[in-house]
Amino acid sequence: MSKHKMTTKTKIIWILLLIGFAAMEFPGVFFFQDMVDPFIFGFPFIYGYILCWWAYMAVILLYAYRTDWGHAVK
Amino acid sequence: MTGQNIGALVIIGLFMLIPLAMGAIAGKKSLPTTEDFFVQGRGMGSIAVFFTVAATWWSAFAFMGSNALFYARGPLYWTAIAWNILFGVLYFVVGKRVWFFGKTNNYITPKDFFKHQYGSEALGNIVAIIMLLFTLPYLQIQLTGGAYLIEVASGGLINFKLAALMFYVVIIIYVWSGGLRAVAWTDIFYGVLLFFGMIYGGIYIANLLGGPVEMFEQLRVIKPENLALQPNAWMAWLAMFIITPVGAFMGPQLWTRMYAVKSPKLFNLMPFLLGFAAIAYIGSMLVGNSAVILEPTIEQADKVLPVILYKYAPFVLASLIIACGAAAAMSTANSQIHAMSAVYTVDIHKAYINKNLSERKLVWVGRWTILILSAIAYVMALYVPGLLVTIGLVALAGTAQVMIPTLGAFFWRRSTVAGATAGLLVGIGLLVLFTFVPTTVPGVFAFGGGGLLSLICNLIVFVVVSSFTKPRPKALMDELDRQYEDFDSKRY
Repeated sequence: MSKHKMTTKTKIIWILLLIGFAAMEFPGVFFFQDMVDPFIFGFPFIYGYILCWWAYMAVILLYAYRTDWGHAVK
Repeated sequence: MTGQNIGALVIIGLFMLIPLAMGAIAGKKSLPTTEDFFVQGRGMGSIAVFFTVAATWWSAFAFMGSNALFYARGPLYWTAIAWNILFGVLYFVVGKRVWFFGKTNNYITPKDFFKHQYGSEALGNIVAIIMLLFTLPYLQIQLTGGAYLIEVASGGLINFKLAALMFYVVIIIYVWSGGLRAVAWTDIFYGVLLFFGMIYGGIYIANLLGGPVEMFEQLRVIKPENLALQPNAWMAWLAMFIITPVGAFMGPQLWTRMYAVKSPKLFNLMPFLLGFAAIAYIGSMLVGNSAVILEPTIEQADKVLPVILYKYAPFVLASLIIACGAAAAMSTANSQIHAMSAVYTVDIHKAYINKNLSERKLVWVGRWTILILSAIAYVMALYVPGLLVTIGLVALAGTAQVMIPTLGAFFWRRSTVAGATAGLLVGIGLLVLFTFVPTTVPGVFAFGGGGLLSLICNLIVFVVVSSFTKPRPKALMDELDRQYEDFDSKRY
């Protein structure tokens, strides 16, 4: 088993990703199930809502890559 | 058959011939060894890896099944945006470890991993059988999807049986020739085609109705229930989010794409690349929803894309986009057949039937296996009915079961052979029961969550049985710990 300890930055990346997954999967089906309005980016609510979180996740994943998933060292 | 039908088939045919040429060239670079034929000597470059993973992951399920689901069930398939990101994250977390141990211990097939990590030949055999049995229906939907496209493109003159046979023959020819190198080269071609084809097709069709905003406003009047999730869709939404990426990731074709990687740095970038590529689903979302307005009475929802394109787009454009759909099916099918051939050749034939075969002869066994397995999938395509997504989800729920002992091997010292075996048998047993007797799925899981429930039961049995049975031998754990120290020290 790995004995490697996660850095603080790595933990933050994982927490942000988990928030993103939870936001994409749960509110859309439990709270906004019947919502059509407001349209977001010209799409019905559920489509636009998920696209917003997709953009959030893309930024986090790009940041993760740029920092070697929190392990990059100057 | 009209001149346009002939033109459409010529365009699709040309798109199939380009990969054939690539396969022939790749075949000349191949070495007659199982390691080269099955994992390209573990030397696949980053661009090839990204495209071969993406094109293998995006199949007829994604290209045609997504349109069908947007058409028939509104936004349900939109959970794919999240599952694509989850797939990328799995490639980073699990893929990097599988790659490292594969490279260190010379694994070629998934069975090699389980046989070594758990010290059990029997567990390895169970995994090999699960891989073979549950990848077949997923291969079947690629042939079915490809056949639908050719059937519609020919104006119905080439019937479904003949179309599926044509698809089958082309795949066989080029997987036969060049092994994984040929498959990866063609996947670069297919991957680019697939991404732009999906997006452009959607934008073109939505613009026929005045653009996406105008199209959705029309849909609000014609069929408002298509704009929000339908009642009880939440279970299918969550189950698809888990089962689809985990099942696809555990397919033998993805194990090959973990073993074959040259540079471990690629694993850090893959979550971003695969997550970003999910934006292509906007295309199928636009096609599926536009089709509700343009053609509200299509009986076979899986044919939505070709029917809409050939009716409303110029036939050259329609044929080009349909060729992208054929590429989606083809690029997944070739990888699946190739990986299943590796599982049979190395795990079964070499281990139990003829241990003394030369490397060159083993490659030939692999080729004949390709022929036979895809023939079985062809027969299934003719006689097993169902929506592409429905059949695909059963197949993915089967291979997803393998994720539990995989994670156990990496992250839980108490994982035991008995726990892994019992968990897999319970998970697969329940999945088979839920598939053939759907009325047995209990409670909320009855709304599309049978596969997810079988995976949860697998996990519970795995943890409980592992907690009460003999741990893996100390010598084995010490060896794995030493390898993990190497993994940690190199900070892959």
